[in-house]
Amino acid sequence: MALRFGLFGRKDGDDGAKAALAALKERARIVLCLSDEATVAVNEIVCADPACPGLETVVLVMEPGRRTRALKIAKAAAEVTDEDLGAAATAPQA
Amino acid sequence: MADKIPVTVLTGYLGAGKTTLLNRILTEPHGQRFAVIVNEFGEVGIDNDLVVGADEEVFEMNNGCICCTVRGDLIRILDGLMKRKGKFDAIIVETTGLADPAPVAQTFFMDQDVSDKTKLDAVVTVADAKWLTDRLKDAPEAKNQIAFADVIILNKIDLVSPEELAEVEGRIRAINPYAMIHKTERASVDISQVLGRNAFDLERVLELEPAFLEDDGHHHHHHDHDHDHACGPDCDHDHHHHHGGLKHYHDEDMQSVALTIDGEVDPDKFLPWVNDLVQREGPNILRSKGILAFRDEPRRFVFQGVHMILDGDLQREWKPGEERRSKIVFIGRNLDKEAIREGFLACTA
Repeated sequence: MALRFGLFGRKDGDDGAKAALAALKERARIVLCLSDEATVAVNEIVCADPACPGLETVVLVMEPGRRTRALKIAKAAAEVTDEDLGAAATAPQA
Repeated sequence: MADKIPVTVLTGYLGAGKTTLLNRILTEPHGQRFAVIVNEFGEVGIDNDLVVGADEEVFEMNNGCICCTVRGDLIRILDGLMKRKGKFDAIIVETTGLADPAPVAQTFFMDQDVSDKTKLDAVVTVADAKWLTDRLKDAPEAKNQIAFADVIILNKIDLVSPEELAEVEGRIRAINPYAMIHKTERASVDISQVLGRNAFDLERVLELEPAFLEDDGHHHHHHDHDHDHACGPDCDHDHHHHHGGLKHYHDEDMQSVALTIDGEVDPDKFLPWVNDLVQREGPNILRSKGILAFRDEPRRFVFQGVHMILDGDLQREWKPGEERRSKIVFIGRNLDKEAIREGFLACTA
C-alpha cells in the first residue's frame, strides 16, 4: 500500500467512502445473520504489492468462539452486493 | 483527531520489564484512566480495573502480504472498548515478548473504524540491558521490537557495568538511531516520556526530533549511517568503531540507512522514487522517516512510514536562515544501501 499520503492521520477521509463501508458493515450483519456479539470490520484495501490483487473489499467477521473469517470481494465497497457477500461467505477460506 | 483515543503499544522481549513499566504507568498519580489490552492475561497482576485479554490473532487482509497484516483481535477488542468510551482516557496494548509490532501498528492504519476512533501514539519497547545483546543475536523478534520503537526503555541498567551499558546502547543505535532511549532501573521513567508522544503525528516529528536534520557530527555531504564502510568478503560485521564515546556497531541484517542532501530535491523525482522503493522493499523496511526541502517549496515536506504504508505532508515553512537540507532514514533488513543512496541522490534538484 504505497504512498497513501494522509493515511496515518486519516483525519477527515472521504465521507462517501466511509458511508459505503458503514452501510456494507450493516448489510453484512443481516446477510450473514450475525449476532450482536460478532464484530465486523470492513475495509477497502488498495495494495500496490504485486502479490496483492489491487483494490479489494475485505470483510472480517469475528464471532466469539469461531475462527475469524475474511470475505474478500474484488470490488469497491460501494459496489458490493448482497450476492457478492453471500458468495464470498461460502468461498473457501485461505 | 482531538477526540481520538491515544494508544500506546508496549513491546519488549520476555522478561525485559514490560509488566513492571505497565504497573508503574497505571499506579502513578497522573490522573489518567487507562484501558489495558494484555496478552499474558492473568499471569502477572495488572493493577487496573479495565484489563482485556488479547489472543494475538494475526490476520492477513491480503494473503501473504506483510503490509496488509493486521491484528484481528485488536480490531475486535477496540470495537468493544469504544462502546465503553468515557471510562478511560487512553489505551495501552501490551504485546507478548514474541510479538511482531508491525501488525499491531498496521491495525491502526489499515482498519477504518480503528483509525477513526483511535490514534497510535507510539511504540515503546522495553529492553533488558543485561540480555539484549544476546537476544539481538538469536531472537529476530527482539530485533524487530528495537527497530520499530519510537521510545526504548533500556531497563535493568543496575545489572550491567558502564562498559556493558555502552555496548548495548551502541548495538541499539546500530539498529535504530532515532528512538528516544531512557536508561532505567526497575522501569523507573518519567511517564510523560512514554505516553503522549504523538510519534506518528507528522506535525510532531520535528518537535520530538529537533536534531533530525543536524549532521551527526560528520561532514560528509552524502553519508549513510555506517559511513560508507566497505565490507569485504572476510568481514564478520561484528566490528565497531567509536563516535562521540559510543561504540558504533554494525548489525549483520538490520540496519538504518540515513542519507542527507545538503540542498533541495525535486518532488517530481523523489515521490515516484520513494513510492517505488517502498513498493519493492516494503517487506524489508520496518520504519522510514524523512524531512525534505522540495524545490521552490517554502514549506518542509515531512514523511514517515511503516513497511509499505507511507504518510507525508507539507509542514511548517523553513525559517529565514535555516539551511534547506533533505534527509531520509530507513530502518530495515538487508537494505541495498548503495541502490538507495543512488536513487536518492538522483532526486537532487
